[in-house]
Amino acid sequence: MEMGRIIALGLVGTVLAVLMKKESPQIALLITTITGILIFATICTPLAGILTLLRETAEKAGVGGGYFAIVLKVIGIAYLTQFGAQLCADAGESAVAAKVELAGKILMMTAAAPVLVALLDMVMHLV
Amino acid sequence: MRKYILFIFLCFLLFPKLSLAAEPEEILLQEELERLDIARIDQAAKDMDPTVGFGKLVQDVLSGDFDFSLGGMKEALREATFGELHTQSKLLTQLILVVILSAVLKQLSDSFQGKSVGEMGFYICYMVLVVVITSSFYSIAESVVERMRGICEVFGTMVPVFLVLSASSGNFTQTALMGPAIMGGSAALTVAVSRIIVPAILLAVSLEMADHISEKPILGRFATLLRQCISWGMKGTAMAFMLLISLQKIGGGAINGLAAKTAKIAVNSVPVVGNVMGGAVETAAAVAGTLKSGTLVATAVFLLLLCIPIVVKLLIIMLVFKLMAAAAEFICEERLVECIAAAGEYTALLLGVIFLGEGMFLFSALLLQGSF
Repeated sequence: MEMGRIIALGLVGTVLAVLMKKESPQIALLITTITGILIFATICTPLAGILTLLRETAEKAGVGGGYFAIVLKVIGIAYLTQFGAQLCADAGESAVAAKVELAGKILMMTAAAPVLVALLDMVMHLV
Repeated sequence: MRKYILFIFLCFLLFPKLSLAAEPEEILLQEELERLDIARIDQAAKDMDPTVGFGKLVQDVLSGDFDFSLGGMKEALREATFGELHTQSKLLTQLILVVILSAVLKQLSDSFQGKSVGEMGFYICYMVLVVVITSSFYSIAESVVERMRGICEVFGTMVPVFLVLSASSGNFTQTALMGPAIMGGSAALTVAVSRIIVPAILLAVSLEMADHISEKPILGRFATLLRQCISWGMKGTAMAFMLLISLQKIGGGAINGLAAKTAKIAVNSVPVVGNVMGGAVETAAAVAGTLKSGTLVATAVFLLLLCIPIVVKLLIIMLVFKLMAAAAEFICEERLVECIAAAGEYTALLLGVIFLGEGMFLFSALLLQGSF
């Protein structure tokens, strides 16, 4: 039923965006953005459930939360960056889309800095 | 006159004589065992915590109480296996989590048109996987080096005992030739493993992991070449050592036989007491021979008991990597699967290092103590 709701939301948003594109492209873009946000909000609850399950499994296994949290953060940043870049590309602003992608990559590198440091430490240890 | 002669003769017959009886063989064996100072071997092996001491093993073999069905070893194997499975479950969980997350990332990337951000996310997942695998691999490699060092040290304390037993059973030339070769070989093996072989394996692992970052092969052939060199080097070392020891065994054998026979003939030819002395020499040789055989069996069992924990650990870790690679093949990137599979192959190489050391020591003990 959840999937039915999401499909219905997507179809309504698409139809409205197509209808408004000729008359008012800005409103069409707004409709597309809102549709995407609403679909994302719908899947947030099941996604949170999966993440909680993975986190609990990691804690039970005694796996360090550090790396696991970093990878989750990176996945979140990757998804949001691609979502944003796609929206900008759909609106015809490919330059802005590229900037959004660049920003996303830099934020991912920043989030992954502890992993990079750990890897370099290991390489130095080998040398 | 006749009466005086008879009286003197009776006095000689009735005069108390000193007579000696041979000690029972068990007491002789016990005395010889105490002289060998086997407690030093147990002291050297204390850090490795073997389930049974070497001294007790020798005692059991000589007294016939040793259980040849190896029940004790099966128990040690079972305990080591279950203990290690529990310890390595953490590594397995870490690998599973990273693989699942990278699969999620791949699916997310595929649903968007732009791939560059997804590729960046993949590199970060890959870095996390490399850190997890490499940290585990480093600790395994350190364990291998420590265990090899420990086994070499224990074998070093065993060699003087073997040499004494070998010399006491008449193998003089062999003892003189093989003793320095075995001691030198043992020390050279410790250095080779800790300074050359294991660091080379770690370098090869790093190259292999670096190769799988990119879709195009960049360091693959170099890593494969290094792995082959390590493998050949290990085989060559084992063959060279065994050839050297075997040649010395063959060369010394003929001379030993001649020397032992000459000694027996020389002792037997002594007038009056020659037979008695010859019997004593044979008894001593028999005691030394019994001790030698008992020590050989105890050595083989003891060396196996020392290497069981590390072999079980390596086997389980290898199984974890290979199982993970097989299970992850259909859900995540090929590069990640190749990385995990490579870790499994290099763990097998570390297992080969342990078998190399064990094989060399067992072969040396067999040649030094064996009756061929």
